[in-house]
Amino acid sequence: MSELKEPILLALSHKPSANLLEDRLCRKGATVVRAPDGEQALQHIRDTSFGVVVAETGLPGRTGLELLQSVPPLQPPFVLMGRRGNDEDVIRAFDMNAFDYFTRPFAPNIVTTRILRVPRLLSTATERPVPALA
Amino acid sequence: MRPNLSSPFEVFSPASDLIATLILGSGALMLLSVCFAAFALGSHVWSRYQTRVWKRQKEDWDAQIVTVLAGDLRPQTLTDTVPKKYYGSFLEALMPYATVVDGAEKQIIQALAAPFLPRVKANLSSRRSLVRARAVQRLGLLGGPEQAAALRQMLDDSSPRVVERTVHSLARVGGAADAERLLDCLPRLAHVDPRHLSSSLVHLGEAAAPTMRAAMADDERPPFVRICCAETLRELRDTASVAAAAWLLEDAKFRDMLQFPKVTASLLRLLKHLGKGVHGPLIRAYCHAPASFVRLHAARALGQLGTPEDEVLLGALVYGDESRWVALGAARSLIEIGSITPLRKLRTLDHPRAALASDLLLSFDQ
Repeated sequence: MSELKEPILLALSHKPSANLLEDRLCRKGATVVRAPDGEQALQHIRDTSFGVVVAETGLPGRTGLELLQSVPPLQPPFVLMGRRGNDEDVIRAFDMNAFDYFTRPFAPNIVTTRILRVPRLLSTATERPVPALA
Repeated sequence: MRPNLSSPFEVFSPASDLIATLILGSGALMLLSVCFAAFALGSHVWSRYQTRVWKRQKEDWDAQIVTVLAGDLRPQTLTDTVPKKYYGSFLEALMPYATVVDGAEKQIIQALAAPFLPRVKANLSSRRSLVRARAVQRLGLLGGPEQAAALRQMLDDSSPRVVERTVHSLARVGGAADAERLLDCLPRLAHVDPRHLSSSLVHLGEAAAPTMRAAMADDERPPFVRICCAETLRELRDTASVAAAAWLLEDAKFRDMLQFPKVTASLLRLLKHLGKGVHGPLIRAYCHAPASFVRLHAARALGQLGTPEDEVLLGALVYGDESRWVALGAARSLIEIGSITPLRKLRTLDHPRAALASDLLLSFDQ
């Protein structure tokens, strides 16, 4: 079972992708909120604290990259979904502090694992004590 | 004195007949209108009912497909419940999932579609090109390599729409051995965006790269085919094609640059993504090409492969190139090579491109 305390926002307009990921994440114990467009996603981000936001780069209303740009780095962390072969989007996403990026088609189990490790890694990073200087 | 009436109808004069006819005619027309209105209303209600039923059916299938993909339900258990006459609708519901999943899940999608594919295959010989095109698309998305033989025959179809769908489908289910066959068909599809075709040709895999390289370098091939090959090799990240592209650009500097500017632009895009710093001098030469989109791609390539010494060249394009797109591309490349000074200076000047520099620096400063 996942130790996720905060819900995951799926900002995906592509319904089959959202259906699959929602199913896999719920099976791992996560709470999922869905937003089919950028405006609704932004509203959710303003209203709720999310453990991860999974956003499509081609999201209508506001693209995944625009959503990412509108929040402070890693608050919440973003995992972006784009189309294969779009290198420039990948570079832009990481330049804008996206946590991860995957493309369609994808293996649902692997992507689910990558999404769920984000809050785990972040909490490990914040909990780790700062090493004492010699 | 009472009139002598032999029949009660004699009371009607010719004028009364006319009025009666009009009344009867209006009544008939009104009845007809009511019938039409009732028919329209009935059709509307029926159509809404059908839409609701179909939506519910699709949601039900969606949920079951997700369950099958999760491994909680056998594919056959779901396919057994699909009524034969609705196989087309079931395949339509299945197709979006075929574009989403990869690996083991892809095989589950194929297992779900398998019982219905013989019916789809029968549609390949339909007289209607739309039906053939849809059948080709379904076979490509939902079928496996065993569908390749049937698809190969469709490459000779009389309809360009069917041929286009076949190229996409065969690239998915076929293999590198089909590369030459597919390239031969491309001249018929010159109306299609080459990048759209290359996004499918990339499914042929790395084994198709040598054929693509040879076609890209072949002067006898139509420029459209060479562009498709260059775009596919870029998407395949075929580093071996960089040497071929550089050789062509060296050789083509004076001969081809004017003849095939779109091929040149594609080769520059290839270099931008896969080239190295050593290709800088070659790319710089194309910053002065006559075609604006060649200059644009050369300027953008310098953003990846250029050095701070390119500040002067890119700055000149930002300030003085006749095309705003070239200026914008050069400005982006200046930012990428870390030379912001020319843009900061331009922002403060009374220059037509000052706003462009200001906009770009705004997003950079953020």
